[in-house]
Amino acid sequence: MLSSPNRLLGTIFGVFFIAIGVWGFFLPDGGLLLGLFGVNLLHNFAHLLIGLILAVAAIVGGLSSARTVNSIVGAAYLVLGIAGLFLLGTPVNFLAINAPDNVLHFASSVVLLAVGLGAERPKAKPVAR
Amino acid sequence: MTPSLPPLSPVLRIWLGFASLGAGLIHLALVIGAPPALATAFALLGAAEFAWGTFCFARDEPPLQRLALLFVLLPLLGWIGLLLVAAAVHSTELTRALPALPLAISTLLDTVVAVALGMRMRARRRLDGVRPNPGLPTAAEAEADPDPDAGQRSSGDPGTPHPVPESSPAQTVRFLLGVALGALIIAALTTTGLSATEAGQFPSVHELNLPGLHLH
Repeated sequence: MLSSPNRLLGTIFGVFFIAIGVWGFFLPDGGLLLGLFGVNLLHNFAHLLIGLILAVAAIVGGLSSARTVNSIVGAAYLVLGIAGLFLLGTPVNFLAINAPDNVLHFASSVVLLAVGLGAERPKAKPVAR
Repeated sequence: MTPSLPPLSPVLRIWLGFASLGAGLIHLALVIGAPPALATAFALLGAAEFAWGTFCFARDEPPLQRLALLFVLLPLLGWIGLLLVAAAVHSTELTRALPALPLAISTLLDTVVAVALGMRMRARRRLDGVRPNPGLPTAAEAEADPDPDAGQRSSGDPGTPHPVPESSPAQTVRFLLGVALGALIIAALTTTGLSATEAGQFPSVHELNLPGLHLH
Protein backbone atom coordinates (compact mmCIF):
# COMPACT_ATOMS: atom_id res chain seq x y z
CA MET A 1 0.00 0.00 0.00
CA LEU A 2 2.91 2.34 0.74
CA SER A 3 3.97 2.21 -2.88
CA SER A 4 0.60 3.42 -4.16
CA PRO A 5 0.13 7.22 -4.06
CA ASN A 6 -3.65 6.84 -4.25
CA ARG A 7 -3.95 4.31 -1.45
CA LEU A 8 -1.48 6.16 0.78
CA LEU A 9 -3.19 9.51 0.23
CA GLY A 10 -6.65 7.99 0.74
CA THR A 11 -5.50 6.50 4.05
CA ILE A 12 -3.91 9.75 5.27
CA PHE A 13 -6.92 11.88 4.29
CA GLY A 14 -9.37 9.28 5.57
CA VAL A 15 -7.74 9.16 9.01
CA PHE A 16 -7.48 12.97 9.05
CA PHE A 17 -11.18 13.48 8.25
CA ILE A 18 -12.28 10.84 10.77
CA ALA A 19 -10.10 12.54 13.42
CA ILE A 20 -11.53 16.04 12.80
CA GLY A 21 -15.05 14.56 12.56
CA VAL A 22 -14.70 13.01 16.03
CA TRP A 23 -12.96 16.10 17.40
CA GLY A 24 -15.86 18.29 16.22
CA PHE A 25 -18.30 16.47 18.50
CA PHE A 26 -16.28 17.49 21.56
CA LEU A 27 -16.24 21.19 20.70
CA PRO A 28 -18.38 23.55 22.80
CA ASP A 29 -21.32 25.31 21.18
CA GLY A 30 -19.98 27.75 18.58
CA GLY A 31 -16.46 26.37 18.90
CA LEU A 32 -14.07 26.36 15.97
CA LEU A 33 -11.73 23.53 15.00
CA LEU A 34 -8.19 24.78 15.72
CA GLY A 35 -9.87 28.10 16.52
CA LEU A 36 -10.36 28.61 12.79
CA PHE A 37 -12.63 26.17 10.98
CA GLY A 38 -16.39 26.42 11.38
CA VAL A 39 -18.26 23.16 11.96
CA ASN A 40 -21.67 22.02 13.13
CA LEU A 41 -23.30 18.66 13.82
CA LEU A 42 -24.00 17.98 10.15
CA HIS A 43 -20.52 19.10 9.14
CA ASN A 44 -18.98 16.68 11.68
CA PHE A 45 -21.05 13.79 10.34
CA ALA A 46 -19.98 14.71 6.81
CA HIS A 47 -16.30 14.65 7.88
CA LEU A 48 -16.77 11.25 9.52
CA LEU A 49 -18.56 9.77 6.53
CA ILE A 50 -16.06 11.11 3.98
CA GLY A 51 -13.14 9.96 6.13
CA LEU A 52 -14.60 6.47 6.41
CA ILE A 53 -15.24 6.22 2.68
CA LEU A 54 -11.70 7.38 1.84
CA ALA A 55 -10.06 5.09 4.40
CA VAL A 56 -12.10 1.99 3.55
CA ALA A 57 -11.53 2.45 -0.20
CA ALA A 58 -7.78 2.88 0.35
CA ILE A 59 -7.20 0.20 2.98
CA VAL A 60 -9.78 -2.49 2.18
CA GLY A 61 -10.37 -1.78 -1.50
CA GLY A 62 -7.69 -1.91 -4.14
CA LEU A 63 -5.95 0.71 -6.23
CA SER A 64 -8.91 1.15 -8.54
CA SER A 65 -11.36 1.92 -5.74
CA ALA A 66 -8.86 4.27 -4.06
CA ARG A 67 -8.38 6.19 -7.33
CA THR A 68 -12.10 6.39 -7.97
CA VAL A 69 -12.97 7.52 -4.45
CA ASN A 70 -10.11 10.06 -4.34
CA SER A 71 -11.30 11.57 -7.62
CA ILE A 72 -14.98 11.63 -6.64
CA VAL A 73 -14.36 13.09 -3.16
CA GLY A 74 -11.90 15.60 -4.70
CA ALA A 75 -14.50 16.68 -7.27
CA ALA A 76 -17.20 16.92 -4.57
CA TYR A 77 -14.93 19.06 -2.40
CA LEU A 78 -14.12 21.28 -5.38
CA VAL A 79 -17.84 21.88 -5.93
CA LEU A 80 -18.29 22.51 -2.19
CA GLY A 81 -15.28 24.87 -2.16
CA ILE A 82 -16.73 26.94 -5.01
CA ALA A 83 -20.29 26.80 -3.67
CA GLY A 84 -18.96 27.81 -0.25
CA LEU A 85 -17.81 31.13 -1.69
CA PHE A 86 -21.40 31.98 -2.52
CA LEU A 87 -22.95 30.41 0.60
CA LEU A 88 -21.13 32.50 3.20
CA GLY A 89 -23.52 34.67 5.17
CA THR A 90 -26.64 33.17 3.53
CA PRO A 91 -29.40 31.18 5.28
CA VAL A 92 -28.70 28.11 3.12
CA ASN A 93 -25.27 27.68 4.69
CA PHE A 94 -26.46 24.67 6.67
CA LEU A 95 -22.93 23.25 7.10
CA ALA A 96 -21.78 26.41 8.97
CA ILE A 97 -19.02 26.91 6.40
CA ASN A 98 -16.70 29.86 6.96
CA ALA A 99 -13.86 31.32 4.88
CA PRO A 100 -11.08 29.08 6.34
CA ASP A 101 -13.34 26.07 5.66
CA ASN A 102 -13.46 27.07 2.01
CA VAL A 103 -9.67 27.19 1.84
CA LEU A 104 -9.37 23.76 3.50
CA HIS A 105 -12.04 22.27 1.21
CA PHE A 106 -10.31 23.73 -1.82
CA ALA A 107 -6.84 22.51 -0.75
CA SER A 108 -8.17 19.00 0.01
CA SER A 109 -10.00 18.88 -3.29
CA VAL A 110 -7.01 19.78 -5.45
CA VAL A 111 -4.71 17.27 -3.74
CA LEU A 112 -7.29 14.45 -3.98
CA LEU A 113 -8.15 15.32 -7.59
CA ALA A 114 -4.52 15.68 -8.64
CA VAL A 115 -3.53 12.30 -7.25
CA GLY A 116 -6.80 10.56 -8.19
CA LEU A 117 -6.70 11.76 -11.79
CA GLY A 118 -2.97 12.13 -12.28
CA ALA A 119 -1.28 9.17 -10.58
CA GLU A 120 -1.40 5.47 -11.47
CA ARG A 121 -3.67 5.99 -14.44
CA PRO A 122 -4.74 2.83 -16.27
CA LYS A 123 -2.92 2.47 -19.55
CA ALA A 124 -5.04 3.11 -22.64
CA LYS A 125 -5.34 -0.01 -24.76
CA PRO A 126 -3.63 0.33 -28.14
CA VAL A 127 -6.11 0.87 -30.97
CA ALA A 128 -5.87 -1.58 -33.87
CA ARG A 129 -5.32 0.23 -37.18
CA MET B 1 15.66 6.53 -33.30
CA THR B 2 14.17 10.03 -33.61
CA PRO B 3 14.55 12.41 -30.67
CA SER B 4 11.39 12.91 -28.67
CA LEU B 5 10.23 15.48 -26.17
CA PRO B 6 10.61 14.00 -22.68
CA PRO B 7 7.32 13.84 -20.78
CA LEU B 8 6.64 16.64 -18.35
CA SER B 9 7.32 15.56 -14.77
CA PRO B 10 3.99 14.53 -13.17
CA VAL B 11 4.64 16.80 -10.18
CA LEU B 12 5.28 19.80 -12.46
CA ARG B 13 2.16 19.01 -14.45
CA ILE B 14 0.15 18.85 -11.23
CA TRP B 15 1.65 22.16 -10.05
CA LEU B 16 0.53 23.77 -13.32
CA GLY B 17 -2.96 22.41 -12.66
CA PHE B 18 -2.85 23.82 -9.12
CA ALA B 19 -1.81 27.25 -10.40
CA SER B 20 -4.67 27.27 -12.90
CA LEU B 21 -7.19 26.14 -10.27
CA GLY B 22 -5.93 28.77 -7.81
CA ALA B 23 -6.30 31.54 -10.39
CA GLY B 24 -9.74 30.14 -11.28
CA LEU B 25 -10.88 30.22 -7.66
CA ILE B 26 -9.83 33.86 -7.26
CA HIS B 27 -11.59 34.83 -10.49
CA LEU B 28 -14.75 33.01 -9.35
CA ALA B 29 -14.59 34.77 -5.97
CA LEU B 30 -14.41 38.12 -7.80
CA VAL B 31 -17.82 37.39 -9.39
CA ILE B 32 -19.38 38.39 -6.06
CA GLY B 33 -19.86 42.14 -5.99
CA ALA B 34 -18.72 42.77 -9.58
CA PRO B 35 -20.93 44.56 -12.15
CA PRO B 36 -22.87 42.01 -14.29
CA ALA B 37 -20.67 42.22 -17.41
CA LEU B 38 -17.46 41.89 -15.41
CA ALA B 39 -19.00 39.14 -13.23
CA THR B 40 -19.83 37.13 -16.36
CA ALA B 41 -16.27 37.52 -17.65
CA PHE B 42 -14.82 36.43 -14.28
CA ALA B 43 -17.19 33.44 -14.12
CA LEU B 44 -16.28 32.27 -17.64
CA LEU B 45 -12.57 32.79 -17.01
CA GLY B 46 -12.73 30.95 -13.67
CA ALA B 47 -14.66 28.04 -15.17
CA ALA B 48 -12.17 27.74 -18.06
CA GLU B 49 -9.22 27.79 -15.64
CA PHE B 50 -10.88 25.11 -13.52
CA ALA B 51 -11.50 22.89 -16.55
CA TRP B 52 -7.97 23.35 -17.89
CA GLY B 53 -6.39 22.71 -14.47
CA THR B 54 -8.39 19.50 -14.03
CA PHE B 55 -7.39 18.26 -17.50
CA CYS B 56 -3.79 19.05 -16.61
CA PHE B 57 -4.01 16.42 -13.85
CA ALA B 58 -5.49 13.80 -16.14
CA ARG B 59 -3.28 14.19 -19.21
CA ASP B 60 0.40 13.56 -19.94
CA GLU B 61 0.70 16.94 -21.59
CA PRO B 62 -1.06 20.16 -20.55
CA PRO B 63 -3.99 20.34 -23.01
CA LEU B 64 -4.72 23.03 -25.64
CA GLN B 65 -1.39 24.72 -25.05
CA ARG B 66 -1.65 27.60 -27.56
CA LEU B 67 -5.19 28.44 -26.57
CA ALA B 68 -4.31 28.15 -22.88
CA LEU B 69 -1.35 30.50 -23.35
CA LEU B 70 -3.67 33.11 -24.87
CA PHE B 71 -6.27 32.50 -22.18
CA VAL B 72 -3.88 32.98 -19.24
CA LEU B 73 -2.51 36.20 -20.73
CA LEU B 74 -6.02 37.53 -21.36
CA PRO B 75 -6.75 38.48 -17.71
CA LEU B 76 -3.52 40.47 -17.52
CA LEU B 77 -4.34 42.45 -20.64
CA GLY B 78 -7.97 42.79 -19.58
CA TRP B 79 -6.99 44.02 -16.13
CA ILE B 80 -4.62 46.66 -17.49
CA GLY B 81 -7.17 47.72 -20.12
CA LEU B 82 -10.02 48.03 -17.61
CA LEU B 83 -7.88 49.97 -15.15
CA LEU B 84 -6.93 52.42 -17.93
CA VAL B 85 -10.59 52.77 -18.90
CA ALA B 86 -11.61 53.23 -15.24
CA ALA B 87 -8.96 55.92 -14.80
CA ALA B 88 -10.06 57.64 -18.00
CA VAL B 89 -13.76 57.75 -17.11
CA HIS B 90 -13.14 58.15 -13.34
CA SER B 91 -15.28 55.06 -12.60
CA THR B 92 -15.06 54.08 -8.94
CA GLU B 93 -17.40 51.12 -9.54
CA LEU B 94 -14.94 49.56 -11.97
CA THR B 95 -11.90 50.12 -9.77
CA ARG B 96 -13.77 48.66 -6.78
CA ALA B 97 -14.61 45.56 -8.81
CA LEU B 98 -10.93 45.12 -9.69
CA PRO B 99 -9.19 44.76 -6.31
CA ALA B 100 -5.43 44.91 -6.72
CA LEU B 101 -4.27 42.05 -4.45
CA PRO B 102 -6.50 39.22 -5.74
CA LEU B 103 -5.91 40.24 -9.32
CA ALA B 104 -2.15 40.52 -8.76
CA ILE B 105 -2.05 37.00 -7.28
CA SER B 106 -4.24 35.47 -9.99
CA THR B 107 -2.08 37.20 -12.59
CA LEU B 108 1.05 35.79 -10.93
CA LEU B 109 -0.43 32.27 -11.06
CA ASP B 110 -1.49 32.74 -14.68
CA THR B 111 1.98 34.04 -15.53
CA VAL B 112 3.58 30.91 -14.04
CA VAL B 113 1.33 28.81 -16.28
CA ALA B 114 2.13 31.02 -19.29
CA VAL B 115 5.90 30.77 -18.75
CA ALA B 116 5.75 26.97 -18.34
CA LEU B 117 3.59 26.59 -21.44
CA GLY B 118 5.84 28.92 -23.41
CA MET B 119 8.92 26.90 -22.45
CA ARG B 120 7.19 23.64 -23.33
CA MET B 121 6.06 24.92 -26.72
CA ARG B 122 9.52 26.29 -27.43
CA ALA B 123 11.11 22.94 -26.62
CA ARG B 124 8.66 21.22 -28.96
CA ARG B 125 9.37 23.72 -31.76
CA ARG B 126 13.10 23.13 -31.38
CA LEU B 127 12.56 19.40 -31.51
CA ASP B 128 10.33 19.69 -34.57
CA GLY B 129 13.22 21.47 -36.27
CA VAL B 130 15.41 18.40 -35.63
CA ARG B 131 12.92 15.60 -36.29
CA PRO B 132 12.53 14.30 -39.85
CA ASN B 133 8.70 14.17 -39.53
CA PRO B 134 7.67 17.14 -37.39
CA GLY B 135 3.98 16.41 -37.98
CA LEU B 136 4.15 13.10 -36.15
CA PRO B 137 3.49 13.10 -32.42
CA THR B 138 6.36 12.61 -30.03
CA ALA B 139 6.49 9.60 -27.80
CA ALA B 140 5.39 11.82 -24.91
CA GLU B 141 2.39 13.03 -26.87
CA ALA B 142 1.42 9.60 -28.12
CA GLU B 143 1.93 7.65 -24.95
CA ALA B 144 -0.39 7.54 -21.96
CA ASP B 145 1.41 7.95 -18.66
CA PRO B 146 0.00 5.80 -15.89
CA ASP B 147 2.08 6.53 -12.83
CA PRO B 148 3.89 9.30 -10.98
CA ASP B 149 7.36 8.14 -11.91
CA ALA B 150 6.67 8.11 -15.63
CA GLY B 151 8.93 11.13 -15.97
CA GLN B 152 11.85 8.99 -14.93
CA ARG B 153 11.19 6.33 -17.56
CA SER B 154 12.68 6.27 -20.98
CA SER B 155 10.50 8.25 -23.34
CA GLY B 156 11.71 6.68 -26.53
CA ASP B 157 9.74 3.47 -26.14
CA PRO B 158 6.17 4.16 -27.17
CA GLY B 159 5.41 0.48 -27.30
CA THR B 160 6.28 -0.26 -23.66
CA PRO B 161 4.15 -3.24 -22.70
CA HIS B 162 2.09 -3.60 -19.55
CA PRO B 163 2.55 -3.69 -16.67
CA VAL B 164 4.49 -0.53 -15.92
CA PRO B 165 7.11 -0.82 -13.17
CA GLU B 166 5.66 -0.27 -9.73
CA SER B 167 6.95 2.73 -7.83
CA SER B 168 8.78 2.25 -4.55
CA PRO B 169 7.48 3.62 -1.22
CA ALA B 170 10.24 6.27 -1.31
CA GLN B 171 9.15 7.43 -4.78
CA THR B 172 5.52 7.49 -3.67
CA VAL B 173 6.29 9.57 -0.58
CA ARG B 174 8.45 11.93 -2.68
CA PHE B 175 5.64 12.32 -5.20
CA LEU B 176 3.03 13.00 -2.50
CA LEU B 177 5.34 15.47 -0.74
CA GLY B 178 5.83 17.28 -4.06
CA VAL B 179 2.07 17.45 -4.58
CA ALA B 180 1.50 18.61 -0.97
CA LEU B 181 4.18 21.32 -1.27
CA GLY B 182 2.58 22.65 -4.45
CA ALA B 183 -0.86 22.60 -2.83
CA LEU B 184 0.45 24.48 0.22
CA ILE B 185 2.10 27.20 -1.88
CA ILE B 186 -0.99 27.66 -4.04
CA ALA B 187 -3.30 27.53 -0.98
CA ALA B 188 -1.22 30.23 0.75
CA LEU B 189 -1.29 32.47 -2.33
CA THR B 190 -4.96 31.82 -3.05
CA THR B 191 -5.97 32.43 0.57
CA THR B 192 -4.15 35.76 0.54
CA GLY B 193 -5.94 36.69 -2.67
CA LEU B 194 -9.33 35.51 -1.44
CA SER B 195 -9.02 37.45 1.82
CA ALA B 196 -9.22 40.68 -0.19
CA THR B 197 -12.40 39.63 -2.03
CA GLU B 198 -15.99 39.86 -0.79
CA ALA B 199 -16.13 36.05 -0.63
CA GLY B 200 -13.33 36.07 1.93
CA GLN B 201 -14.83 38.79 4.10
CA PHE B 202 -17.30 36.67 6.07
CA PRO B 203 -15.52 35.43 9.19
CA SER B 204 -18.13 32.98 10.42
CA VAL B 205 -21.75 32.03 10.23
CA HIS B 206 -22.04 30.57 13.71
CA GLU B 207 -24.65 33.08 14.63
CA LEU B 208 -26.97 31.29 12.21
CA ASN B 209 -29.52 29.20 14.03
CA LEU B 210 -31.49 27.30 11.48
CA PRO B 211 -34.60 25.41 12.58
CA GLY B 212 -33.78 21.86 13.64
CA LEU B 213 -30.03 22.36 13.42
CA HIS B 214 -27.78 22.50 16.41
CA LEU B 215 -24.81 24.62 15.46
CA HIS B 216 -21.56 24.11 17.32
